[in-house]
Amino acid sequence: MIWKLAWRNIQGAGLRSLINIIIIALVMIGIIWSQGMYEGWMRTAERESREWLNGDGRITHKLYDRFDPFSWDKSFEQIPENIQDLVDKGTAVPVLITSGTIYPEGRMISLIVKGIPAGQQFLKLPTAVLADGGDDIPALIGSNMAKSSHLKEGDIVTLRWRDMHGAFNAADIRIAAIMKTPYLEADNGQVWMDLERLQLMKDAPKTATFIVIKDAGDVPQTSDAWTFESIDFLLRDMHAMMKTEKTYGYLMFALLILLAMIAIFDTQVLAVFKRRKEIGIFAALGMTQKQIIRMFTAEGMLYAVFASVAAGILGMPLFIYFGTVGYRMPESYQDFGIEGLSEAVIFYYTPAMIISTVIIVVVITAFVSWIPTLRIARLKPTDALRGRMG
Amino acid sequence: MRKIYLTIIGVIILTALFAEYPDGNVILGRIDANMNARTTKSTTTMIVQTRRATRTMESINWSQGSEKSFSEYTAPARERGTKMLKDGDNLWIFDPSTDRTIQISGNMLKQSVMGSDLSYEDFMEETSLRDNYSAVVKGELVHEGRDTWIMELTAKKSTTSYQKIVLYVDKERYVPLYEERYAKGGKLLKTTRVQEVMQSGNRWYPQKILYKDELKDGKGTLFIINKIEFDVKIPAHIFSKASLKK
Amino acid sequence: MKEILISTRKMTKHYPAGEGKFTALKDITLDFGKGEFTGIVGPSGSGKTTLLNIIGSLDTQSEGEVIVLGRDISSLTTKESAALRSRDIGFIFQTYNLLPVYSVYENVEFPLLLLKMPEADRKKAVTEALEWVGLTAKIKSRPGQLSGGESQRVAIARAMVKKPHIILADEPTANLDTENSMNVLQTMQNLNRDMGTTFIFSTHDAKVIGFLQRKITLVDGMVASDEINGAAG
Ligand SMILES: Nc1ncnc2c1ncn2[C@@H]1O[C@H](COP(=O)(O)OP(=O)(O)O)[C@@H](O)[C@H]1O
Ligand SMILES: [Mg+2]
Repeated sequence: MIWKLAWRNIQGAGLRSLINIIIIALVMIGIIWSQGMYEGWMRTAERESREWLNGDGRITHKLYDRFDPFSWDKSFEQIPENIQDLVDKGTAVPVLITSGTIYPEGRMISLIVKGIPAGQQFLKLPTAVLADGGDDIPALIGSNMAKSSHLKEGDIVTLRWRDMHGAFNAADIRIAAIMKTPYLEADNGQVWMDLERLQLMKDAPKTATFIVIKDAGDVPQTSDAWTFESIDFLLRDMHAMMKTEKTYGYLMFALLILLAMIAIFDTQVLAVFKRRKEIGIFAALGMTQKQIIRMFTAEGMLYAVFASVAAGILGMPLFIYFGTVGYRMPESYQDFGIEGLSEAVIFYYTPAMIISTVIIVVVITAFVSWIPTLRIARLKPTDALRGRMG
Repeated sequence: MRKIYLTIIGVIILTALFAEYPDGNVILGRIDANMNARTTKSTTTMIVQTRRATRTMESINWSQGSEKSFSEYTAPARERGTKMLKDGDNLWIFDPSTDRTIQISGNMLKQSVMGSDLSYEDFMEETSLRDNYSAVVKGELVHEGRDTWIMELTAKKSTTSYQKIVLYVDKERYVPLYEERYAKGGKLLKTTRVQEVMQSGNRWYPQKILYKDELKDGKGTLFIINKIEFDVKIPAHIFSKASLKK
Repeated sequence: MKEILISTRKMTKHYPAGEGKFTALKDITLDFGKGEFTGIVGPSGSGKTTLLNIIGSLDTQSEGEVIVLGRDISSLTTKESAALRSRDIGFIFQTYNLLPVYSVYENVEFPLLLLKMPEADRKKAVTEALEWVGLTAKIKSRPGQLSGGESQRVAIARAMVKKPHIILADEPTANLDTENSMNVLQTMQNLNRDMGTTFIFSTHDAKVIGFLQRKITLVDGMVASDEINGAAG
């Protein structure tokens, strides 16, 4: 009965109801949309990370610190035999890291040199181009690196590095290919070459800095020099960043919810004031105050319920578009070097995210529409009928 | 035919016999003795010539052996007050514009000092040739009007940065007038050219040196010693971190 | 002796007024029998509305006793008084007080919804009530689209649809012209005659007097006279 009456009131209020419903629906669409974006972004970044560099985790030399080039000269060792077995089976890929300097057109650029077996199969890096090119040393760089260093395919450039003992060495490398990778950690400030070649150059045969593992389930025991880093561990920075991003997103939507709720609150306060005569009539016709309050609250809640439906209908094309085509960041953003943004982010929605959004909005709306109706309880029917507030 | 071969071999053997070159390692010792002092105090000008611009920087420097040195830049205005302290393996720089002291380590060591052809790493190199290299005299040459020995230096340890160095050493003054530093694989990395030499007491010392990173473009970095005193007394506090902030 | 539905004993109503209080009704002792068609007349401000509100349990007296359908009004909880209104008392107001966002049908249906009457019975009752007041054609209209007379007839239909014992009408004709007034009064009289509904209404309209069975005159909150109209008796 209450719902029927509430529905009648909403219908009766016409445009005002519609506006309220649309505002709430837009907020809901916004919340689900942005959550879908973060979720999709995270999944994209995680997938890229797995496909391009981190596999299902990696066994890393204990001394390796990716932010400290000084550590790179110490953080490599002979690949343990049981891991070499995985490498031979094709379920692990060793990578050796050293710092170097290149001199394209006489400019000096410090970079990371990464060695990876040219024949590896499971990382997406097009390492086949690194296969022995005779006299010259084939190297692979990402398109970002190519842009910042002004290197083109076929360019020959001098690379200077130190071997494992500390002596300077230099040789010409040939840019065999420029790859387009969405995973910037395999692109920015680095050059890839064949592992065996780099081992030779460093005078450190059979060594690696880390070994990418295809399946975290079959990581063998290793000596103390190595530590297994799970994919979650490797993605911790990204997760942390995503968390702050998400927090900002939530804050923004908390603000939007607040605005929407102020609109509802306002509508309700106004309604209770403008409809005080109506309230008197309801009372005269035999409604209890509780029923009247419930009816007003139900009206507010129905807004949210209809808004959920409206959000579903209005938002569906949007959700489907971003869930299939996805969203490409403008080029200028891609230069920021944020993982997972250089290819289109396919939005991802989870039932939990949708249900929680609906529940939160409905509950908040109900609460916000309930508060102003408390005045009704203080309203005497005779005063209400005379059009006065109690 | 056979006769010709024999003749050629004979000539080579004879030449080798007559070319009685001195022991390279002895010469290295003389160079070290000439170039390294217990302490020095100098004022220098560094002229960095890049493709785009020329920058001139002046500094006052104190050094003690190859272990410790302290420099304070006096010009240009932008660099004035910048100080650099080397103590063993540590290197600090004080930047007056931020009023901060930072320790140069890791990748920063590879960066060039004030845009010059010298990296911080080069500052950290050991200076004793005799200790680190064994040398062979390969020949002689008149270099810019001076008689020099051509010497080839080979690193004694595999950990030495430059595994091979070629020097033209003034036969009389024991000043290396020209120096080439090579990568292990044989690529020329850096050259040093002494353009003017000065006498101080009974020692000869380079006064104008052109450093050049051969992999990099540009005309190199010119290093001019305006004034230098050897074996002066330097108070110990000069080589302390506290003096960076003064 | 007719069955007494409403009785008041020495009933007084004060309203707070500034520092002190204002006495709107004083020592009212009245009985209203079943099936009466009673008018309460008196000048504006004489306390007619106040009396109806108390009888209708929208308000409570300050002193004395009010018994409606065997229940002491002042002892009812708000829930009980709401139940009383919803089941047994119909209201008709001078300004019609229809619910503006509801259609004519929905306005009339409303009291039945409160009584949780099943859909089919509801429909029948609403249709009947609208037939009674002669407004079946306007079923879908909104109150804003009706004339004053039509609006008041909808209000009558709404008051009678639940077949209450008592209908309280506060100056039902004050906003109507003569023709509509007559029409509305006629409708109420028919209702009183055919269904035995007890009517108590306030008025200071001379045309109304002829319709009354009983006329109670209030002056300054006190009963000045209580006359039975012989012709109608
Ligand atoms: N809620 C109220 N508060 C104060 N005074 C009131 C209130 N309701 C009515 N009165 C006063 O009581 C008197 C009787 O009013 P009312 O019953 O409305 O008279 P009538 O309906 O005969 O015109 C009037 O003087 C009116 O001003
Ligand atoms: Mg009145």
